[in-house]
Amino acid sequence: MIAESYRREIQYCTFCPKMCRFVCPTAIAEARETVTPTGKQTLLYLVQQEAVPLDTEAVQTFQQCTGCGLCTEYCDHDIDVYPVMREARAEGARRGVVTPEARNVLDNYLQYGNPYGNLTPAYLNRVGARILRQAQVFYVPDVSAIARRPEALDAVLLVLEKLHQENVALWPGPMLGSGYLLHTLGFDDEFRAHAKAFADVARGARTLVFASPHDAETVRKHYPAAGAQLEAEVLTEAEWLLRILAHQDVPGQSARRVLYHDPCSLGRGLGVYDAPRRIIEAVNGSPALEFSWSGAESKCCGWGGGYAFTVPESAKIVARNRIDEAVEQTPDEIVTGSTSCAVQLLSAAGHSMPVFDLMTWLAVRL
Amino acid sequence: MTTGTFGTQPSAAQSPPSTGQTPIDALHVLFPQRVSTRQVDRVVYHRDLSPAQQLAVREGTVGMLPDAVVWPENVQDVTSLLRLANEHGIPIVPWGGGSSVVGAATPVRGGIVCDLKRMNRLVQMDERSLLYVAEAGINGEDLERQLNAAGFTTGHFPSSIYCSTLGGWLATRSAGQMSTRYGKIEDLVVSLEAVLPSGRVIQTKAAPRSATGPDIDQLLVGSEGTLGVITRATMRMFPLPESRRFVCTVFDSLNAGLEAVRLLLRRGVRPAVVRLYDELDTTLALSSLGLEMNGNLLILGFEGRHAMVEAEMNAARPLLAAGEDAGEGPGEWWYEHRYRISYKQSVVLAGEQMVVDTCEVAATWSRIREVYAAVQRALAGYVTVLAHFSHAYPEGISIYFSFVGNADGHPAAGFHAELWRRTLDAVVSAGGSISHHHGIGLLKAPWLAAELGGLHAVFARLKRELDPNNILNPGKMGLP
Amino acid sequence: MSLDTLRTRIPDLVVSVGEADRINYARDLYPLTHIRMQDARIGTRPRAVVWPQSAAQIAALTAWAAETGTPLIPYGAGSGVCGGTLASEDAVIVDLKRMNRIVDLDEISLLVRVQPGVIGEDLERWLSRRGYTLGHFPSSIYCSSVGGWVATRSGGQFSTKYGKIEDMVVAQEVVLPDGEIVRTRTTPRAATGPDWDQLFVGSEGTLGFITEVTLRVHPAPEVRCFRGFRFADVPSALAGMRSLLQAGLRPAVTRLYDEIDTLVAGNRKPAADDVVPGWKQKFSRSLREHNVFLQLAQRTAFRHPKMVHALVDMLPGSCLLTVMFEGAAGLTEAEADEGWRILSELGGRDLGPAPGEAWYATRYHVSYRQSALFAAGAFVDTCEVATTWGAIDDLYLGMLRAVQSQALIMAHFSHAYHEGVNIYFTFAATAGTPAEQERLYETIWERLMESCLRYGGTISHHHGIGFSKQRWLARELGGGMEVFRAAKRAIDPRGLLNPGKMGLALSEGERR
Repeated sequence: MIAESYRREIQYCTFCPKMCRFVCPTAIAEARETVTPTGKQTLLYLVQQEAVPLDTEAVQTFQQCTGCGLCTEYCDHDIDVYPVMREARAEGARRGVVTPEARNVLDNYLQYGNPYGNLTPAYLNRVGARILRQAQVFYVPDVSAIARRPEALDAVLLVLEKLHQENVALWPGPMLGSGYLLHTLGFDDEFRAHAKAFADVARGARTLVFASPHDAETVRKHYPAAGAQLEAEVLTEAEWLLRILAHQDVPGQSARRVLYHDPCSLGRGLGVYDAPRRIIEAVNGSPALEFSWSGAESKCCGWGGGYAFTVPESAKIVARNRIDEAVEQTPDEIVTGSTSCAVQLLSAAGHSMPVFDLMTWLAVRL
Repeated sequence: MTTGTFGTQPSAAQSPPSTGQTPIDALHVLFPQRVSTRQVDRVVYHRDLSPAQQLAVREGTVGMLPDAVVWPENVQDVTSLLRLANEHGIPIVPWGGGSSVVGAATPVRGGIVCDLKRMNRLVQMDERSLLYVAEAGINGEDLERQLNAAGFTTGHFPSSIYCSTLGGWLATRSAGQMSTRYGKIEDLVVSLEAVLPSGRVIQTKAAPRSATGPDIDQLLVGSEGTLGVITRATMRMFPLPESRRFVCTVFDSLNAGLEAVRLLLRRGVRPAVVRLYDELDTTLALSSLGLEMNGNLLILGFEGRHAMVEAEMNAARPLLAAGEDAGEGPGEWWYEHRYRISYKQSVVLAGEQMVVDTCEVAATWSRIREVYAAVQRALAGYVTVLAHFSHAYPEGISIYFSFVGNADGHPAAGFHAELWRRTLDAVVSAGGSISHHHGIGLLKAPWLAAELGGLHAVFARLKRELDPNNILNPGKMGLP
Repeated sequence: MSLDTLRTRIPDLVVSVGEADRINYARDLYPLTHIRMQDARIGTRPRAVVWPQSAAQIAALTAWAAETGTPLIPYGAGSGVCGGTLASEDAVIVDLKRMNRIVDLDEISLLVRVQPGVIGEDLERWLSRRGYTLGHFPSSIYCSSVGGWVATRSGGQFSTKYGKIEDMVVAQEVVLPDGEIVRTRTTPRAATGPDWDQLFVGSEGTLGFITEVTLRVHPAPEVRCFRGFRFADVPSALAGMRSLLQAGLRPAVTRLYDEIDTLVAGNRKPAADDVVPGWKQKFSRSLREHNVFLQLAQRTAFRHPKMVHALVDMLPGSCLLTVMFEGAAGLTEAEADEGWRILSELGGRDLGPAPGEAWYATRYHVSYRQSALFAAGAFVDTCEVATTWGAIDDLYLGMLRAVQSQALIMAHFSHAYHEGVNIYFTFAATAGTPAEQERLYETIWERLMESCLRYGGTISHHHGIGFSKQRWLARELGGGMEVFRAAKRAIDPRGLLNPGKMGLALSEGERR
């Protein structure tokens, strides 16, 4: 039986009255029963029972999960639907059932070591000066930043300089990022290979600072099982920045209306809620504004779980919904702890609302 | 209004017999001693209490007469009557107290008036469930007193209570003076027995609430005799209140009074009586009843358990700070005289050129001031307009306008029709509802399509399905 | 005719004929479909699912449906438990959840105008952020839509104060099967003919598509007063409840649990220990530590429900009445004090605020419990009926006895009225084979409905009729069915809107 270890989760969700549907980003975006947690799990249940084949359409349905984990907050049984969906995707991959969108991501990983394509020339071009093959502290940029918001890399350099972090080197590659998308889309073998190669490069480093909380979470939670051992301390950018800023004078007087968006992987994933808020308060001189859904109940931007790659139109609706929610708080700008989130939110906000990742925001406000 | 002369128009009931027996003959067989074709009865039943018809009477004009009046004594009688009517295509006009002020009980197409007043028993009181069952023809005051004797009240006090019936209340969506606490008739009804036009008797279930399809009771309530004949009802009753108290306040401006009432309802205070009189109504109407006041008088009446009455009065007082406390006196006085206003109409109508009428409309709080102003504008210089606001809701309130005018040499009927045209056009365009509790009948029928939009056609289609021969109260509410 | 004509006719309409969608729209929350799902049996799949985004699109859709003779099934969030959205093979499901805007809040008139696809909890939170509440809290609030509430005559947990959905609806926009878009007038009250809003409220998608609703809202409560009372038995507690309501008090919540339900409900929080004395308390605690239903299932209590019921009957009974008042400060405390006085005078033992607060904190949890039971191979369902105070004791006992030997059954009384109260039965059972399971399920319902009608109860208090209860509807309505059918013929003469539900199947002769 496929996804055997998740039997309880699958059955409980199948027979649940969809109590978490109202917070599930994909269910909201498409208004479609099939992509509610209950709908997805029902399909998986029927696949388990061999009443429905595990075909492309089924895998497409299982890809409709951003891994945001908000469903768990509204589950009396503490079920997290995401690992179940991920396992179903992996089962699909093992059986060669791969959607075109996922295939594209996989191909890019295999050829270029990242989900987007040939990013290395641009990356080297932008930050080559700060790249070292070996270092005590590596700053690992968010692949989304390299691909979609390269100016964020300039911001990184600027902030490192302003904060006098001469000892911090930028990640050398060739594989960029932790392989999160391989993992989330269920390409387990390829993920293992990526993880091991990543760990090899990181060998000898004392600290790894991840710009992407997805990367930090992947490395912390899934590298050990993939046989990739890291000795270095793994920090999210926000945790690291807070540590640095604690010893520095910061201006703290712009008092703009800054609204903070919790990345799902940083908040619910890694439990980091406080650090980015303290940074914002220190730099801005006043506490960050909160979404009506914030902290442990923060809503997703639509990027995670490979959703922005497999179902980009719906992922944009998820982002749009979050921007609509933001507008209620009348902020001057949104700051978030992940460039992926920033990229995704910007895809919906356009010019209507500035959205910054922490580094870019610091580069402007420090 | 349809006019005619004494019974000269041919009607279905008197059409040449095909079977050798006219429908009238059949009536005599079916309802021995309980049918009348006497001219005097036909004349009496040819009109109700609508001022338009009062004016016609004053002019000596007589409209279409019914062919007969029948007094059924039980639900089977009603069934027999409707079957006969279907057979011959005879209009049936259900009749309670005939106290309609909009012509709802007028037999505009002749036919048979079905007077339900012999079905007037209080059938049962369930003191545990606080329900009573009564027949449709029971008189309001009679009913209230019977319940009072057992320690209960209907909670329903229309100013017509002396001259209207339970069935009439239900058919016309009546509302009483204490509706803010006890609810309107649609809130008081729990189940109905009714005869559909086909003659089929239906008995809806006496359940506190159901989710078993659309609320059938609510389709019959307000149908003004067009969809069925209500013969019996199960209604809520209430223990007689331990305490009844009044809080009266005079406001300099009507707006301040309205705002106080809105905030009161918004806060969840549930007075039984809410009456806010505008300046003219405060001075003229109340003084005509012997109470001298100036400003905009607000009467709040609270009743129920001692402790709750106290609590509600205490909750109300801070919200009345913009006005001046007038003590309990005016409220007590109003209570004593609460049905007195119904007698005033005759006095005015007795004047040869005088025209008098009332119009009750409703709107949400966002629109009510505009509705009030629009009617005042539309009638400025035409008639004298008095108004009070007497049924309050968290989302809005009703306005009860009284008009007094002098036709000044013009035909009173035309003067009166113009008065209504101006009034209801203004109400519709200001976003009000054309009737709060008097109903539609003939008078307001021309505006009903504007009120209901596409649902007026739905009404007509439902009527056609239920009453394919169009026997029940035809020609009313803008229906064929 | 193929769906291509639909795509040409309404190019912007979102349409799916995907297998995954057709499978997921082949069931709603009707437990019989769960029982079948235990056995991986998929119900009848609709032909397609469409997601209109405006009343105009729906109007165009009805025209297409009329031409092609295609049944249309309005669909909210699919949380109905009576099979009200089950499809036939030729039917198209019309999912309204993309029409989910909150259009307008009139803070002066306390009215909110919303599209039907808004999920309840989203609306409530939106209002809450602005200082208001709708006051409508069905336990499905996380998974049901406003349109669904109106279509099915939903009732919420606070209905005693705020009313049921029919009391909240002030106006509607409805697309009729002939494509006409009609609106009722936004007015506090009118005497302008029958209340047309009430024709569509409860019509369960058989008369039109509700495309916009104007609902009453209330200022968010300033205070909330909870109190639990212990009564010796159900009749004495019912008498307490009745006195509260008949004294004219309007608590937001009055919930009375019978002996078994008190035990089960008591497993929520330590506070409820006070409710159950002695060894019963220990039993209750042990239930609390595990999932009570699952535990019972594993101990085969479902296979011997008679024994369990006999056991409970032998216990020195006691049941819990939870009451909550909320609203404006001052007024609410006064009302609560009056309520506590009445209940104490009638023999209720005051347990303080804890039982009520515990209920409030976990008020939607019951909806999660069924999963475990179905996953364990048993089934659970609920049956909500109502009657007058005068008839309630007999109805309660009559219905309990009707199925006690088949199922573990318990009840609470959760919506009280001036003239009566509802009963919310929960029953659970299991049988051997899938076929036996289905048969047992049907038998239990048959017995419940028959005994309900025999004792004069209404067969549904707030779940509706849908597919599963339709065969009892004509008897329920006492001739009123003729009026309902006339409305159906008048409005949907082709019988294309949600056919096969509510006993409205039109004969050839009736169809136009």
